[in-house]
Amino acid sequence: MNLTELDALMEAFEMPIRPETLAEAWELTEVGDRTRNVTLLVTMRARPGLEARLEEAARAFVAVMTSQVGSLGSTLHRSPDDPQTSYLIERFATQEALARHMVSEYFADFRTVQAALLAEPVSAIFLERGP
Amino acid sequence: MPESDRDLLDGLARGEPHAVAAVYQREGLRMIAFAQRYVKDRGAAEDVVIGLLGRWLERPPRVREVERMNAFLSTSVYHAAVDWIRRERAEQGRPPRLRVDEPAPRTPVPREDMHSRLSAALERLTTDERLLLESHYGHALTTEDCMEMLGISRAAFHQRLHRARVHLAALMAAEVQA
Repeated sequence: MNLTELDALMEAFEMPIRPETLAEAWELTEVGDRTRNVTLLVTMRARPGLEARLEEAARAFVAVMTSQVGSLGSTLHRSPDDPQTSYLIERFATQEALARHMVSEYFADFRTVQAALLAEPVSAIFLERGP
Repeated sequence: MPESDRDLLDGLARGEPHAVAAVYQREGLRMIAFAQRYVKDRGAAEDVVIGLLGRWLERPPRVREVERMNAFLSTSVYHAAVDWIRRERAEQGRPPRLRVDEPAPRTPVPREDMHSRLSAALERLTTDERLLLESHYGHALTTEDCMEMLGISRAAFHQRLHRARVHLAALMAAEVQA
């Protein structure tokens, strides 16, 4: 096998990387400056039987939110163990974008819809908070 | 009081959102910087990491009993980055890597068999040769990382990489003929 053939083979097969090499690379990784991004993890618990309606409302909310200036996107995730529980990960470019989101009409609408569907108030954890 | 690595890993394995949040709060910047090594773009690296958090919430990761946080995160983020690169390749219309049932290029050996032969050949390399090839073919490390780890110059890096490729090609030729 010549080197050209070897290169073609390695292009076709992914080179397996040993965990110890990845751990070395991890240690060598320089951490950049903190960004101005804001990232939130929101937990929502639906009333029994209203899970599908909450999910539908959340998907509509995500679609609107994602199109807003300053939004870096939002994703909806379901708990594997508890069908009543779902999560939103929301990302904003800046604290100001989050502030605009909090006073927006679409957010107010979502909160109104949510109120009838939630078993308990939502909880939100800041994963990353911009300066 | 800060939670220990073990507590956080156990929390991740139970799918607890506060553990996902705590890991990101503590290691998020490094996770993004690490993903960026492979996907190159900062925004894409953020997408890779946030996507990984979402997957952890939906399918809590399996965490080995003795695993350390850095080992777990480096492996998880690396595989998430590789998945992202695969999707990008597919979206750009570039061919995906071979499926298991396809033959490997220019050899009559089935892919699965070729994979085990490649693994066997890689096992016969020295640790340094393996590292050079992981850098060259797998992009696990930059050239500079590799030079620093091996304590060699750039010229020596290229020389030794060439020798490692020649060695692997010879081992693979022997494996294919076997």
